[in-house]
Amino acid sequence: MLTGAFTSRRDSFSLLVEIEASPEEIVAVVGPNGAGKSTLLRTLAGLHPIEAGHVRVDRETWEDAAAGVRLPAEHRSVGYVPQSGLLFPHLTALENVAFGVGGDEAAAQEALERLELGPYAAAMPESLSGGQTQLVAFARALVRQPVLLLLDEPMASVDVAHRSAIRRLIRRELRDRRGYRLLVTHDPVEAAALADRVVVMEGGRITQVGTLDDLRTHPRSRYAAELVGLNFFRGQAVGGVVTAEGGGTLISAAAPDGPVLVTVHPRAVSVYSSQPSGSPRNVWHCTIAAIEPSLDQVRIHLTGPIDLIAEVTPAGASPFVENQPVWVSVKASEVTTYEG
Amino acid sequence: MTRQIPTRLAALAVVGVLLVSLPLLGLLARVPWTGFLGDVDDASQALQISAVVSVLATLAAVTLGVPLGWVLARGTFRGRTVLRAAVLLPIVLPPVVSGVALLASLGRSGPVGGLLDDLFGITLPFTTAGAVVAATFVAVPFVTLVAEAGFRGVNRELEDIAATLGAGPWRRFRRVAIPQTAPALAAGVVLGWARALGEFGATITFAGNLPGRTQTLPLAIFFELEQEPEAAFSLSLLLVLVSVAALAVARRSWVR
Repeated sequence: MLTGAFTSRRDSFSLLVEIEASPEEIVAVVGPNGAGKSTLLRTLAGLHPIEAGHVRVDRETWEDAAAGVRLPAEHRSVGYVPQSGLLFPHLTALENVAFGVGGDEAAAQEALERLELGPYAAAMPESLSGGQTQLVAFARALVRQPVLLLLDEPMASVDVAHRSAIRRLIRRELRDRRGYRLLVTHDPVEAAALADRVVVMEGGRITQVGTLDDLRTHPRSRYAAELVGLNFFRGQAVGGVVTAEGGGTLISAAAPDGPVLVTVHPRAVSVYSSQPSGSPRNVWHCTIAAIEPSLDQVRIHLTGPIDLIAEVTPAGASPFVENQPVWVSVKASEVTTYEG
Repeated sequence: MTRQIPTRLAALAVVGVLLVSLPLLGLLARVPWTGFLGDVDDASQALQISAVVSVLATLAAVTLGVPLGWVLARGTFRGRTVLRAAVLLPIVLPPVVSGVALLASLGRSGPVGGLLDDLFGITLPFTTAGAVVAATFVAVPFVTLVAEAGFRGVNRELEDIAATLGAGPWRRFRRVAIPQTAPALAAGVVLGWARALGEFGATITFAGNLPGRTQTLPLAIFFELEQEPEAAFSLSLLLVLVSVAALAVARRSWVR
């Protein structure tokens, strides 16, 4: 078991984290920029000291502030793959990989070949693409067979055209081994492709831990909801009626009484230029704050008693302009509520 | 954007160029070209002393200056500013004062020199070793200065990566920091060596002018000027050529 319960500080930023991982699973740490994800990885790697608490891996104490124990990075069995790869610029790809195994070039060559990089063994880092750099850095970490593997945004510097191929290689290598495997990402697609469990970090704190399915159906923060593409707000429910924090009310038959979290899929939000007839439930008067086109749909940002985003087809969006007063409806059956 | 240089600046720049180049041209005019090789040959003893002293002093300056540069670049202790000032002082100190200071401390009646004499029977003043010490004293700050700047430019994240790959502090220094600083360090070595080669004031004060023991090329030039000025011109030209070569090497490793 890997357990970490600690606080650490970086300039004015403070991190307070409790994390657990088993050697059987791959954990993705997701969170907005500046949430402390990289600091978490650096702390586990031994590159950043903790202020209080401990880090234990299997039966070994890597760090314990109270006992004054701090294992330096070079004595921890970690493999750390930083965001930009960070290869040693004066060494070839092969020498980079061999650096951590006492110059064992046979082992390094094998590690490169596993990642389909055999032909690049003699290449200098400056001549490698972003994806190749990332894979060499990955091989450099893997070849040491570390107990704890840490990947920081493995796809960040990879060209879009090569993402899926590289993701496939990383996925295979991560799946093919036991041991603690943590990766930081802000891409839900990457988390879904690579991880079994997701840890959401915001502002230096962990706000949610669960499977990707938990995150998708029951996000517990606005960030997590946005990540999986849902409208989200907090409210109080009484007898199936939810009063949102901003004041609007919404009917949700299944809502448990008490504080609740509410999600609504943007495609379940309909926008009308005049008051809709028929079903009178969950209809509000709103204003269009912004219209944001994307590839195959248009996102309409609405402000009113409850702020929402509606997702419609380009044709469906054509009658609307920004600042236009509109009517909005949400089917009660499309509102998901759960205890907050 | 206009690229015109103001006339006043241009005029002063021309005067500056003349001030630097005319003496060198004057020297060229006085060099006895036919006797040049003979003059150099006659000074072979001083040449040898200079080679030995400057190379040993450079080795010593690198051995001491690189660690000093590292401590100044990475240390977080108090008094670092004072330490830096103390180490760099020989750059601005009049060389004769350096010589007097060396004599006062390492001379036979000095606190350290006395100890060396009593314990090991080592005397530094007026020996080749003393000339090496004098040259090292003035060369160390150049190596330190360049090394510190180089080490500050090292990507610390690469050292972090090396740590996660099992490299302890010494291996990180040797395998990551040094290769990254190599071009800057090469420039520092060349500068330090050139300074050691040209050293005059501290050497003559501390080590004297003993032909075959402490008389280096600069000292030989100075004393030849009274006896055989032609030879002094020849040897000066030799040092000019060596200096130009050193500058070229230093520049190349700097510009990279």
